[in-house]
Amino acid sequence: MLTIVLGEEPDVAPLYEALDEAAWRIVDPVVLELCRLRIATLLGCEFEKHRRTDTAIDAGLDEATIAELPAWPKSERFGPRDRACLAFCEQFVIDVAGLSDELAVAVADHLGPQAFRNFVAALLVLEQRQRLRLAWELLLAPRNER
Amino acid sequence: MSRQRRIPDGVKTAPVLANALDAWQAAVVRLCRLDPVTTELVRLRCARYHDCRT
Repeated sequence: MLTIVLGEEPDVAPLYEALDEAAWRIVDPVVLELCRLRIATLLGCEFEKHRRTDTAIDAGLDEATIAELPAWPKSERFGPRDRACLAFCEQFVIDVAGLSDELAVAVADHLGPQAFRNFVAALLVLEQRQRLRLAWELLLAPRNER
Repeated sequence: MSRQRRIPDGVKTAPVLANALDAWQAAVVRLCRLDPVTTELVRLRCARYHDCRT
């Protein structure tokens, strides 16, 4: 899809991929994968919902945990750090301007200020990527599938 | 809603991601297939959505 959309902009596509790679290099891959999958569910991005990121799986994330992701507020598979990050992620996607200090402090307390800043920047990358994909899918779909 | 500073002064996004973000955004801004008025409307709509006062 990237080739179709950005095929006439050869300078842009590599930067788009480099951005994603950079996000995964600086944030815990398990936390980031949980957030990526949660974003996919919230936005209805089927492609992102069904794929997996190798570094997260290699780091120990399993399918049983992923299957319980919709129940993250109560499931024992998710610890306090995961819950803080997922709560922040959900608010970030649904209404970023509505992020409260409480949600931010909860993540910062678990990650520390530097990792918190990196986490927020990485979330921006993940969300942007999925919103772009959804828009591109709609624009590129045959008219009778829209 | 309270608006306390959430990240201390001096804490920056890791350079590998900050540089990648800068490069991507600069490349997008350089694209010229969209007219400048529509581009500015989109930029302002995004600023409002993100509550960005810059």
